[in-house]
Amino acid sequence: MLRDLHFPGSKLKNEAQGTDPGIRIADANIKQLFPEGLVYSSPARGTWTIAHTSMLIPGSHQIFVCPSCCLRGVVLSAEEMGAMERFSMLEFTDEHILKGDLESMIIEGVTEILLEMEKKPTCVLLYTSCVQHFLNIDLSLVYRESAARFPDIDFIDCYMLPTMRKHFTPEKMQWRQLYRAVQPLPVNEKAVNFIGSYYAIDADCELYDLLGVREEGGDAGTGRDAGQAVDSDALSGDSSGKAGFTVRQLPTLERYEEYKCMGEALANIYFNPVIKFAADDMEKRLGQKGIYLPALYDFREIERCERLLTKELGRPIPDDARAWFDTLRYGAEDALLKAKMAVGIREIAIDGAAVTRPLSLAKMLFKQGFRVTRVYADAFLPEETEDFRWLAIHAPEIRIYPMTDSRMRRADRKPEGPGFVAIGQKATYFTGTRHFVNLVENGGLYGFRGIRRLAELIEDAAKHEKDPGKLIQIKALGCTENCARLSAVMTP
Amino acid sequence: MRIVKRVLSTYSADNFGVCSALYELGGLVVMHDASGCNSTYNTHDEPRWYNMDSLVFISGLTEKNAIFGNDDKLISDLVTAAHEFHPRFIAVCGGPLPHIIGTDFRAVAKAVERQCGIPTFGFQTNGMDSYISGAGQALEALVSMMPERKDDTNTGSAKVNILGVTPLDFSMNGSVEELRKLLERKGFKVGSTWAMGDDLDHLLKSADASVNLVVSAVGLRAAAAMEKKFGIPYVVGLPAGKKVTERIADELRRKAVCDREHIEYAAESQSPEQCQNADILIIGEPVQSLAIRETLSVSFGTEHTRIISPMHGLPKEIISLGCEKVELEDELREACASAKHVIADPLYARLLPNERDKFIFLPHVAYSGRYYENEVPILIGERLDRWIESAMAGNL
Repeated sequence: MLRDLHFPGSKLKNEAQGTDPGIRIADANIKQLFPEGLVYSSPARGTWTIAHTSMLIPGSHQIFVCPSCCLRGVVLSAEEMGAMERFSMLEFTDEHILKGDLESMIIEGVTEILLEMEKKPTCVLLYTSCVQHFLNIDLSLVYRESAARFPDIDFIDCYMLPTMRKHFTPEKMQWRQLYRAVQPLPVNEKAVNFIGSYYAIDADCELYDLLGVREEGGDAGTGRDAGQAVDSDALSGDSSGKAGFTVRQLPTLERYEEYKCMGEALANIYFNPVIKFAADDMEKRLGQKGIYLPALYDFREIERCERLLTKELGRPIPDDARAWFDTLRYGAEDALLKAKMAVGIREIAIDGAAVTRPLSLAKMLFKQGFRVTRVYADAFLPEETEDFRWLAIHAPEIRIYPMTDSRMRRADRKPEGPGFVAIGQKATYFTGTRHFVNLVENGGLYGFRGIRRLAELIEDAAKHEKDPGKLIQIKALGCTENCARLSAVMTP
Repeated sequence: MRIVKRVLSTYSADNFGVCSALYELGGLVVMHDASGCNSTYNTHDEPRWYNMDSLVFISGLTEKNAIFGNDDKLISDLVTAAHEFHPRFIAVCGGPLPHIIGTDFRAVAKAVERQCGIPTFGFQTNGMDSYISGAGQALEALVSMMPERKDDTNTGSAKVNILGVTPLDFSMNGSVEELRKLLERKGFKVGSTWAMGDDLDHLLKSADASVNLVVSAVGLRAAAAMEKKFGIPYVVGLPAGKKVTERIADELRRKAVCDREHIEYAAESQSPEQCQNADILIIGEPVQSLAIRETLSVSFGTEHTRIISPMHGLPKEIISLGCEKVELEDELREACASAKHVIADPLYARLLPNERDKFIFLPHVAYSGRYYENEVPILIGERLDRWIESAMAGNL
């Protein structure tokens, strides 16, 4: 039940007042889509926060040092994901600030927490917040001394600094710090890391074929058609039979030792440009090459990126692998066709929290014949510029809507028309549809098979209703399951 | 002194209390801070967020504006939003960082009010005190919007305002509706409910009530302000438990007709010494806890019950009734260990994982947020007696 409250002089629907926050893509300026003002937070909660992401390190323990209002969000998130035993906090008040002893308060507090723990954590992620930074306390002393008292535990300095988001978004800083306890190891030429994804790259993704991972038994339960299996050695021209790479990624690790083994990787592969900060740091500290595979939806570009990847890893795909790529492409296009049939005349809305390249996705779906009419995003990555321009010319009526602009609180959430199939939780909420793909941050989907899987999800969403009220309000989609997985693995 | 929290949570903060108290009243309510406060509040502490529109936002404070003390951006954004939304009033409060850099919210409010002509309030919250302080300030501010009574419109009839209801203490489980019905059954006319299920106009016209009933610590400041401004006496107590309800009803009638100069607490005060060897410990919101203690005493013969209300910023008068303020985790663990039964939010059971059986769960949204929201019981009227009976039978 949506209840219109008591706002005399105003109506629930901004559009009725001529103040629809959406703009035609043809009229939009990609560098400044919307004015900066008061910020609204929609009830779509599936994106991960720093407290969720930190849980990806097996056996780790988080300690947050903050005032109560900052702590509340993280501690209740920990409770919701069933991981309170991996979480503690130091709550300070005015008294501590006035006393000026925040450094010793943190050091002694951390010591007390760790001494009381029967089973010591593998790694401690110690979070400080905006207040300590503005008070300019000696944080290096805090981190150094805390670590020195527990030499058998890895300490990672972590930061909850939303105030400084213009320099370092919490996400960007978080991902860099998350790998800080990975130390240099002798290089294993047959090991790579996938970094910066909340979700394991889908087991069906062709990257595993290209890296020969399946030959090490990594494809259990992928559901892939046997007929599509490839011989990765043949694909790479390697006849030695030793082409298989070991791939490590945080969402699938079970033991802390595996996390430490990430230090042996030849390269770090990432799918979101925000992760470059972490990749550069790892390159500098560990000598690991960073390879960016943008999570885009252009078949030609995907093939180019995948060829580049294999070249970078020293096992280039032969030029005559054309048929293999064509097969992957046909698989994706078949699935898209089925999805289009299921969607029918309904409109498609996409949000920027579901995928990192919403305009690339919009362009691909538009070219495939879908009625893409809305994209929700506060800003676009600079690398979306080309797709933005293309859409502005070929699909000028697509409307761009903000996600956090205050006007979205009163935006029309029951738009007229044949209905929507939404991709992403925010698009779901704002269009009021029950037909949606529950997807966050690419959901581990990449490449041709990622598109195929996404098309299957669109088809399913078009055919079946879901209850957004129940599903999109769950914080950090998939995190609870991951915590339960780790807990099951680590419980003797 | 709330330093180490190895296993416990934290209470909803004062800035969230402001938002919660004003949520349904058509105002523009803005927390001045970076970003996290907003999603914490509306994820964990605001069960109305999905289904009920309200104009609660965050300012999106940046490092640059914090360092240069640029309040102009905040003022400009508030004025712009006011022109967009035409709110009934504007409220602005802050999180920890504005507190550290000394943002003067009252001055900000004055500047905004001057520019857009809409009543504007600035609350000096800090994100460290509890929701009781913030929500209390917010409801108190609304009293200042109430027009002066031209004459004594009080007819002497028993018209009661209910003060201090927010989902943080009462959830969305029907307790507030139950409370209204109960008072009506007892022969009272319910004037207004501060502030759930009511509207601003109704609240502002509620100075004709003969008496105010403060059902949580959140309502104390507004009650005191109305007592000062309009001479409306108030009774502090939650009508929970049959005998406590009767007692509150009697007090309300007495206040409505005579003895209008005084304030009444529907609970006997109890010294800490009396509680030292108490078998039962209650941890929670003070006014509700007092009602449970009274019911345990008068209806179930429990001589002494200890109450701990670990919220920062509790009103002094509440503490004087025997609600101890214990915040350190070790001391709370010790208190739980020495009691035979502990009535508390389920998260407190984490203090004694091997003694979970002694805990009687009473979920409190202001503590565990939305996690146990669907398990919050209605304790109004005789329902509390039944709940206690069920707890004693080991059914809770």
